[in-house]
Order: sequence, then C-alpha cells, then structure tokens
Amino acid sequence: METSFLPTAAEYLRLLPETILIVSGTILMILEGLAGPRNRKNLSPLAIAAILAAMAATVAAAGNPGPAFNNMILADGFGAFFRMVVLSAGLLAVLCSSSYLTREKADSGEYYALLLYSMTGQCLLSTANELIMVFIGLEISSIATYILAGYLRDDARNNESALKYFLLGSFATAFLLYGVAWIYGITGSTNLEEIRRTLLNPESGASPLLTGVAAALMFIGFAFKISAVPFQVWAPDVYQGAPAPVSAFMSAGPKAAAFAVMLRVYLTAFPSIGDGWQTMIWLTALGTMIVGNFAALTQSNLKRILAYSSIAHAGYVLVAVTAYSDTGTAAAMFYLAAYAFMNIGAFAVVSHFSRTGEKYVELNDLAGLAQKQPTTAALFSLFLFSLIGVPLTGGFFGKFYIFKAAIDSGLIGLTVLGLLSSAVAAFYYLRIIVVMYFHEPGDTMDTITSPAPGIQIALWTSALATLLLGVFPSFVLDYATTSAVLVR
Amino acid sequence: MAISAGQIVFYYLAAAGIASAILAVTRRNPVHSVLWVLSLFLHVAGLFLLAGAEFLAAVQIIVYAGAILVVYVFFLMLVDLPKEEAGPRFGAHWPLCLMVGLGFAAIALWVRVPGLQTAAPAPAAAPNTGSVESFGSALFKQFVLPFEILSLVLLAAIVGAVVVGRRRTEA
Repeated sequence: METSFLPTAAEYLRLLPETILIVSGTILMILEGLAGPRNRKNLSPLAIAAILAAMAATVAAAGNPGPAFNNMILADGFGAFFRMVVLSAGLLAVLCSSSYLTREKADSGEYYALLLYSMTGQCLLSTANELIMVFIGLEISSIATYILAGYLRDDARNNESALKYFLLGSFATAFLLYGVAWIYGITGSTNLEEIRRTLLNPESGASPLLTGVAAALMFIGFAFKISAVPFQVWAPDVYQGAPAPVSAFMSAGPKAAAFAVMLRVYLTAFPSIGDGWQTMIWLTALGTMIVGNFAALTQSNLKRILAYSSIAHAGYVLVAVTAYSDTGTAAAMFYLAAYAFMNIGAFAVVSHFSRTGEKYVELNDLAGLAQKQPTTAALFSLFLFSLIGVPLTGGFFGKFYIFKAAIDSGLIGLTVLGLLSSAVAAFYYLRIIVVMYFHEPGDTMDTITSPAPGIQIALWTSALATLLLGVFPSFVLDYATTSAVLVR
Repeated sequence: MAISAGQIVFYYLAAAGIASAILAVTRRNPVHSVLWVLSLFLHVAGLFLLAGAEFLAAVQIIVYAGAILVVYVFFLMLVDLPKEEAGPRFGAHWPLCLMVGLGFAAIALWVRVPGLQTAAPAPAAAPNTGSVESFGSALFKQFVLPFEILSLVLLAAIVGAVVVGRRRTEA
C-alpha cells in the first residue's frame, strides 16, 4: 500500500490557525530584539493582530472540515468551536496584559510569544485526533503556561505558583502518558477512530477491565488540567500567585481545551466503557462542585475566590460530561464559551483593581468601588451575576442547558445536588457585590485610576458577549448542537 | 524444561535492572545513586536489544545514559553532598511511596495473568519493528506532524528557560 504522504493544500489550511500562532510568536520575539527596549510596549497590537488572523483562519478552516496530516488532527466544527473559545480567551488576556505588564515593568515580547504558543497547544488539543497529538498539545500548552504563571520572577508568589503548577502538572501528564501507553498496548493504535474500532470489535479480545484502567489513568491527567476533585489542590495557589491576566487566561483557555480533548477522547475512542465510566465522572462532578463552592465561602482573597469558583464551574461542566449525550456535549461547549467570557471579565476587573504589585486583592479592598467607579462596579456585578447564573446572562443558559441535559439522561440526583451547591455559590458572589455597593470607601480607593484602554476593551467585550449569550443563546447553541454530533 | 540462552539473558537483564533500581533509591550517596541509575539504563537498553528494537536501545543509551544522566550529575554539583548523606534517607511519606510502587508492580503482574491478556494484535505487518528503517519511515511519513510540532515544545521550553534565568534589567 503506497499512499502519498505529501499533505494537500486543504490540509495546510486545516492547520493554518496553529501555523499563524507559531509564526507570529516567533516573529514577536525577533522584533523585540530588533526594536530595542523603548518600543517594547508596542508589541501587544501585534499579538492581537496574530490572534485575529488565527480566528479568521479558524473560520476559513471550518468551511472545509476534515482530517489533516494522516489523520493526526481533525478540523471539524467541534474543533473550530473550541479553537474560537481558546483564541477569544487569549485575545482578552492580551488586552488585559498590556497595561498590567507596563505597570509591573515587565513588558517583553516573550510574554506574548509564550501566550501565543500556549494557545497553539490548546488549539492542537481542540482538534487532536490522535493520542500522540493530545500529549504534544498538552505539553506545549502546559510548558508555556508554567512559565507565564511565574513570569514576574522577582515576585515570590509568582515563583511559588509556577513551581507548584510545574511539579504537579508534570506528574499529572505522566499519568496521561501511562494511560496512552496502555491503550496502545491494548489496541495497537493511538488513533482515536482506530481505537474505537478495535474496542467495538468483539474479536479483538480487548479486555474491558484493562481498557477501564487505561481510561482512568488518562482521566487523571485530564482531571488535573480541569482542576477536578481530587486533583484541584493546585488551582487556588496557582491562580493566586500568577499575574492576574495569566490567571484569567489559565482559568479559561487551557481549561476549555482540556475539556475539549477529554470529550473527544471519551466520545470518540471509548464508546464501550459505559457504566463504570459514568460512575467515576458522576462522583468527580459532584465532588468538584461541592469542594469548589464550599471552599470559596471562607476565602477573603478575590483571586482565591475566583479560583475556587473556577473549580466549581469545572464541576458543572463535568455534569454535562456525565450526561454522555449529544445534548450534554453541546451544553458543555456552550457553558465553556460563556464561562470564558464571564470569568475573564471578572479577572480583568481584579487585574485593573489590584494595582502595582497586586497590592489590593482582598475582598474588603473593594469597599465602595461603586461610588468611585460605578461603571467598573456595574460590569463586575454583571460578570458575578452571570457566574451565579442569573437570567439574561450567559451563565444562566449555560447552567440551564447543562442541568437539562443531565435530567434528560436521568441524572436527577446529580442535578438536584448540583443546583443546591450552585445556590450556595450565590452567597460568595453576592458578598462581593455587597462590599462594592454597600460599604463605605476605605483608603484603598485613594489611589485608584480609571481602567487602562486595553482593560476597558476587554471588560466591554466580555460584558457584551455575556449578555449576547444570555439573550440570544441559540446562535452559539445551534452551532454547538450541530458540531457535538461529530465527535460521537 | 529447557531454558534457552535468550531467556537466561532476559532474566539476567531484568533482575539486574530491578536490583540497580532498588540500589539507586536506597544508596546514601547521591553520586552512587546516579551510577546505579546508569546501570539501570544500560540493562534496559539490553532488554530493548533483546526485543529486536535496536534503535530504541541506541536511543536509550545516547539520550538517557548520555544526556539526561549528565544533567543529573551537573545538578549534583550544586548539592552539599556530606549534608545530603547525613540527612534521613527517606521522607515521612515513604510508606505511601512504597505502596504506590508495589501497586504498579501488582498491575504489571496482573496484566500477565492468562485470560486477561489482550491478544494485543502485534502491530500489523511489522517484520522490521524497531529497525531504524521502519522507525524513520513512520516518523517522517505517518507521524511527520507530531515530529515537527515537537520542536515547539522545545522552543517554548528554551524561551521559558531564558525568561526564568535572566536577570531583571529594568528597575
């Protein structure tokens, strides 16, 4: 069998978003060297242009879906959806970063380059159709994010954050790799579709028990990346220590990509595991929601509150994964998109409010923000309402679709417990709003300046997207529903 | 029951490999530990050779025994050796670590139980598995994208090392 291994033009197009990101990241670093120290500030528009170009390429690639490079990646609607989520998260993070880096005197091209590389890894994860690509995508995304978490290297909290993330992250990736090795041992392949074929073929002799163990090992690797219980311990420390725009990105981009790859691997490759798999996710989803929401109650640091809240939100998405149906997949996709905007919006406020050296990140520092900066406070409240799941926001429809999919799949108990735990969550979000609106301004308000242009754009974009998803959810949901079928 | 020469070699390599690994973990002097790790790598390379994977054996020696071990030795130069030797051998977690280790050993044994074997279809038509030719052809034809994209992992790591390692110039 002599097949041509030369990729066609269509295949290059299907890899174009990643290509653009890699090339522009590298050009950014070269330009920084040529430009000299004075012009370093002007690098963020280039990163923004690169991300917008990658978005356009994603749309172009989605017009002609299909596999590329010997089935290594599959640029389908599902992949395009998650590429857009990751790119949007990256775009908003770049907008927040520019003023943040200037403030911390850490402007440099490497920051943006690493951000672009990290997004490349996540785009590859969204489209990976082969366990080797999953592993490589995860490594690119993780390595770049480890460094970004510790980017301000004179800051002790940054260092702690990066080191914790790196050590635990590498450990988790090792589990994933071990699971991949098992799968190869069982089925003789690393291609998702071939694995599916072998597992469904009764003559292949693949033991369900061994397959289950392999799936569980891989699940450990993914569960770490989405900060699911019991692998969530790193998240609060890392989100608290990392620069605020990086925390914003970490809570949206890598998480969405990890969910994308998890959904694709389990829906495409493991149709045969069934009940054992559902019980495992069921327990993880419940534990993640409960631990995230209850631990957030006792926190006073804004970044830690948002970190625990991001754990809880991973739990909601896991409910959709537990449903193990097309509507569940679509609900998870919708939720991750809505979550990316509202959570980055909230982190953008924190990144604006904290000021140089992130001095003000305690809950009480927000006292009286509504009097000093009514617009910022109003936008922050919008994001928090969306995180609670109040109607007219994207968060409402996200939760609605997820729990609807869960009920359709007969997960009544999980739905009830999930709704109860999200009622608990309302308390800590509302507490932030109360402090902003009903407490007298303290001396923390003396030095506050109006938000930098980049942060303003990020805030308004996120707010607009959150409202759009809350008022016209069908745009995104219809696309998610049509493309969710593809991964099955 | 006749034991072939191949089996004798296999059991020697396996036993010596495990013994080296145990010694590497239990030696007080970190330099001795590293040397036992070297012995482990060489025995594993022998196992690969026995399985007909010459390329993998060569890579095992060049990359692991050659490059990675050298990095370990460099790292040891930064460590206060006498103090290391005087300190307690294991942290408080060693029973847990032992359990995890035994757990993995149990899994490995359990896979050997007949009946559980997954008749893993020996990768179809692979007379040359492990030979440089089939490896190279897989790498540059079927798996060319992962192979190329891997360079981004290295690039990100290099940029990261520079970022972490450089001195902050602006004040």
